[in-house]
Amino acid sequence: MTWIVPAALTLLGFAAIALSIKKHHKAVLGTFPERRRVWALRVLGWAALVGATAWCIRAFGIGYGLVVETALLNAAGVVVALTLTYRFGEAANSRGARRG
Amino acid sequence: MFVTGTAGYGSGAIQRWSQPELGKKSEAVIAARPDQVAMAEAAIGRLRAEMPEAAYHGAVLPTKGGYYFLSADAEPHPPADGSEAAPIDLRIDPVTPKELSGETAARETTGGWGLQALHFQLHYLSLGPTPVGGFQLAAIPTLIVGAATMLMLIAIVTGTVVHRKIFADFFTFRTRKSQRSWLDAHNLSSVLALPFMVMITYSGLIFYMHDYSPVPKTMAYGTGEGAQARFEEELYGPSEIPDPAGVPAEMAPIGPMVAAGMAASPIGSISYIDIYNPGDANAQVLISPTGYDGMSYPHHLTFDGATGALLPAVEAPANPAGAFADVMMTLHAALRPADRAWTEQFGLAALAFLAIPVVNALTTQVHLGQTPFVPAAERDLVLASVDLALLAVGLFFATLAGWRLQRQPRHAPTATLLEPAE
Repeated sequence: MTWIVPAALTLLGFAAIALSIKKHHKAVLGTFPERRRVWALRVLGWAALVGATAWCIRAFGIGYGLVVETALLNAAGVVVALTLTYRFGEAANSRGARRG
Repeated sequence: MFVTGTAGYGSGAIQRWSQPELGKKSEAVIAARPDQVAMAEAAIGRLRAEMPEAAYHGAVLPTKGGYYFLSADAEPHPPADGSEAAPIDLRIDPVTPKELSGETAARETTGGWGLQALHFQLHYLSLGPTPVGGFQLAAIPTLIVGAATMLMLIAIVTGTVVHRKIFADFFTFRTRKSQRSWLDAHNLSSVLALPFMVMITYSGLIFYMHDYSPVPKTMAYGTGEGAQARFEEELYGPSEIPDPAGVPAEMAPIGPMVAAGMAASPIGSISYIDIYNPGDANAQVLISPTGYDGMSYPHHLTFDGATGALLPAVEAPANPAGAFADVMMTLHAALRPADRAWTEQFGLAALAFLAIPVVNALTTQVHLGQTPFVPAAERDLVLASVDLALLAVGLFFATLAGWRLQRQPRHAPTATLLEPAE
């Protein structure tokens, strides 16, 4: 169960990074984010990912720790992407993507 | 390489699945939690009684997926006259501890370890060095694997540069948009897997780096007698194993060293014991604590055999890491009418994967057909999980094949792999 805290941190990190992307912010919260909020979300997201990695390395050692964190990143990424698709609708999603 | 490398991560479980007789017994033995200190004392004690001075004493303890018995073996010093001295190889019941008859009671198989070797040694090819002119190149399988790995690394690095924009669409997955959905799924899975891909490819090259770029090594150490030994000594430090002093010495008891090894393991157990120069003043004992998964042994503790003192840790060499390339599969698919080829390949893959548990059920006594009907305590869940995983992969491919059939009901196959984007 040592992985629960880093798993939560990784999920939080990816969720924050996803919200820092304008089209996802619009899809979830209904508005485009201000510049300051974008940066706050980015910093929060990356800090959570770094924290999760550090936690894993402390708990499992550098070798196992990095492997565990890689697995958590994979799982969290899928969860965030599919949540955006199936909970917050793909219509808002696809309109933004055409521009990018 | 891709398939066998992936299977290699489960080589312990697959090995056990290939030898169901052995796996169940080792599980029962491990479940009984026999005292490892007592087992080590029994094994090493017998070797010390039968061959007090030797080149090597060793014991392998019962492990998950490994031996169900306690193995003890001794190598004598090579006699001065060049004759062969008989080694000792004992198999001891870990509970009683009586000696077992010579057989392992398991069928012959290359099993999971064979699959893992297939990943980097391929098959049918010589594993010796390849002579080119007066120069020795690495073995042919090593060179083939290296070329494939290099292509893979180039593909990953150039792909990351070319597709920089996919990072912006990292979290985007749009359903029911045909080509767009495939592209999204491709982006999502490839970006997620990117750190792993870079790691596994790069470390695969690093693993054989002196075989792939031999020139610096040859320039510095030459090619003559002892060149390799000089190189390795400088690279890894002097050999951990001291030469025998030629002075007989009383050996320290093995029990406390085993206890120290158990304390160093995350699951409180050790896997094996190596003793070099037993009975000599320069004896050295290696104890290997078991890793998280109950199978691996990432590092070991070294003790002075005569005094029992713990010696400073020597950095363990890096673990082997594999590499893979699925370029060939894509090529095969692209050369045939795309629709039909996908359906056929999914169908064949489904049949192949589904057939394995069936063959298992027909040829062994331990299979999914009997798993639900045996008492819970006797169920072999590791074997069942390998069968279930194969079934799941088979059903996945069957679903894909069925979906292809349904989606394109027998119209003339198109010869293009990619439909024009929306």
